[in-house]
Amino acid sequence: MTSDNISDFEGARRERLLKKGWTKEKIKRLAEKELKEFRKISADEPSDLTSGNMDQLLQGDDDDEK
Amino acid sequence: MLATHVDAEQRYSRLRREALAVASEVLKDAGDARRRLSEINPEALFASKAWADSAQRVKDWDWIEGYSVFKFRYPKRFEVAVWDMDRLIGLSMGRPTYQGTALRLDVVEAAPADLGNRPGIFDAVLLGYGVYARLVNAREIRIMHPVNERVKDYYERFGYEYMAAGDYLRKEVL
Repeated sequence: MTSDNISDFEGARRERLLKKGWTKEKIKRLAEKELKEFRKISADEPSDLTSGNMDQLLQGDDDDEK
Repeated sequence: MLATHVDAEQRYSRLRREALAVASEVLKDAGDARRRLSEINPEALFASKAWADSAQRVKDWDWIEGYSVFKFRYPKRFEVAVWDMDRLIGLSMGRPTYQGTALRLDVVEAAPADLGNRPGIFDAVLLGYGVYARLVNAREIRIMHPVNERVKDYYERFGYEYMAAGDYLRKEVL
């Protein structure tokens, strides 16, 4: 983040971030922890890693809940 | 384009760049000197054209067209290009659900293996999504439509749970 200051985030998002107690540093620490876990698994990544449906996306088919 | 759409594009563009900056910093601090993350920029889209030369490619996707449509439709999207030095090795894009409670990983593709050896991409992709999910206050990440059982099983090893009804895997953002 370009700022460490939560007050730089706009209104409602700032309130939610404050409620969760997240600061830039906390988000970064969580990411570091996650990467350590991910790395243990990622050595076995399938060589043809692919997911999603680009055709559905292009056709505008909506599979999201309302 | 509506002014509100343009406004959302600008606001969320800042969040995308911040998420990618944090994720890139985390990779670098972990000693990853080769991989870097960027938005899906014109350089990435041009590089993706080379994937059509692969004889092993799983899906015949046109990222240039797909990204153009996705970008237009979803200003709150997340997008990431994964690079090994100056070589494109992965692309992904996704968006918050309409309710805003989850961040979808809509499409992801690693560079086909027959085009050359490369590092993995998924740990870096998930890293970016995790940071962005927290910035937009999403409570879970959903990996949409795994293409086969092997990939689905791989995602489950990251702690994701498959939801057959929607054909996606979900995991709470803690």
